[in-house]
Amino acid sequence: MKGLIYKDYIICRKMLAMAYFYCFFFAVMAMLVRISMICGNLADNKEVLDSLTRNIWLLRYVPCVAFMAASCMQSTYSDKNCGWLRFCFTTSVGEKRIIGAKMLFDIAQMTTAYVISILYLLIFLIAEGGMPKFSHFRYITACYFLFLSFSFLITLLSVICKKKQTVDMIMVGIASAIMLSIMPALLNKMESLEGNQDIDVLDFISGEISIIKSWLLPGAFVLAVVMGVSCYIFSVKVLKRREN
Amino acid sequence: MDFQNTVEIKNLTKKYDGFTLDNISFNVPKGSIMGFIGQNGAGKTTTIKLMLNLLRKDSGTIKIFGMDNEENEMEIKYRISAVFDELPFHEMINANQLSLILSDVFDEWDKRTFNDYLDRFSLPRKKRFGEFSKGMKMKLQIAAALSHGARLLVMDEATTGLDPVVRNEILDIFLEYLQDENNSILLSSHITTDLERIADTVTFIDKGKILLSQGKDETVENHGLIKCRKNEYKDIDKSDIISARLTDFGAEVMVSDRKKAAEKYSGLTIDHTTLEEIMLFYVRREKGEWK
Repeated sequence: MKGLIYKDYIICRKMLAMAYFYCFFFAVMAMLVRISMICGNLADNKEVLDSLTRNIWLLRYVPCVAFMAASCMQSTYSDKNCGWLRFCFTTSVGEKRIIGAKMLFDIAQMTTAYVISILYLLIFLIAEGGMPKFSHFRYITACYFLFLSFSFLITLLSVICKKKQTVDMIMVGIASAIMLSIMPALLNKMESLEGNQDIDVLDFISGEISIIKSWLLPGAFVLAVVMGVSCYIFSVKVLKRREN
Repeated sequence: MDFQNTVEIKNLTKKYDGFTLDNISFNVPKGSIMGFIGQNGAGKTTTIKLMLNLLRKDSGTIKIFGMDNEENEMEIKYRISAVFDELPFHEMINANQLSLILSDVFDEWDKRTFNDYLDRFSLPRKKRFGEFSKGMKMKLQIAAALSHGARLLVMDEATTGLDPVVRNEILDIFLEYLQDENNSILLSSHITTDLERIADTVTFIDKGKILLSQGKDETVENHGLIKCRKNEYKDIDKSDIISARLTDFGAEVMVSDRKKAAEKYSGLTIDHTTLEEIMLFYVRREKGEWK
């Protein structure tokens, strides 16, 4: 299993490096804002800067996890394009091992993103002089499970669909649906703002999901487990059919 | 397990829309190299995919190392190496990384043997495969195929598109591999000159049917090419002819029994032939006469 996971790591490492660079970039930006706030002329605009810092970390950890999901996609696409799967079928590597390695890699990537996000959150909340709230961890953890389900889904789709374009279309469809469901409410909120009021993205998202707030975390966890098990079973069945 | 033939295929059938692999049978004797010849679309790759269980057969039996290829799939694949015309490894990895990955894929991966082949083929260890030439990619596949103690090499058009120098180098490696009597090679190709050099047996396949499967020397020795004038051609018994190429000056006629033809048509010149000519005349057998 170690070699197969290592192979996925090599294929995805550029994408991963981009994700970490993205995190690092926003971390530096957030720090500059914080330094400006403490030392510079912006010290008077505390409210605006607090909001800005919070929005920056939100912008940072979500794309971080999203990049991880994208890199899962890259590894499965590469396998198809270069004939790696066909090569594996000519060896004694079975379907279970192929899918198992792929899913373990997904979990390892997502967990790394999750740990980094949590560390960022801790550092920035402590730097702000506040204490981390349980709700923040709950959101990130829920986000972790949701993206994990998403990456399992990508693995499954890439195994089922013979054409890369089909998977792309489905992914774009899902992303568009999510955006379309959030955008109208966000636009309404922005139109209702007055003067130099600002939107706190975290508060906004919390408000939007307030109905499902209480069961967001357990729901996301259950979804990840169900998705993981069903994708594994289904992928193994599909791979057994091979080129028939 | 004791077996005489590394591969035994009997009455194998697979139907597609527009193509049927029709009840084919042939063997690859242990310790030999078999050339699997046929034009593009003849059914070579389908047969190989069926052997490797990449496709499910409709009927017939495939035994490899004396075992059924479906019931004992994992045991068989443990001792098989398949090489295709395209590199199956990702282009962003290098030979060192590949060695680490394949040590997980093959239980008997031999890093030292792999490195020896890399040195022998002058393949760089830290260069990404995306920067390799076609010849280098093929050498890499062969180096990987020979580094885990496989007893059967299955090569599907592996030498196609390579220059003669690289092809010769690879053929030499195959001959070395066959020094061990337990090893066998199934070499699918339409480059008949390669097979003439190294094959022990040849199997011709055309439109999903096996036309002949026998020793290479026997095949080349038995067949003959009669070169004659048009009026002489008319006197040749049609049942002796595989097919005939008509030229402006006369005809070239392929016969499957050269000795018999020499006795029967003593006044005509009967030349020795090559695998390429045999393939050409067999492929056009349905036409009978062609230009």
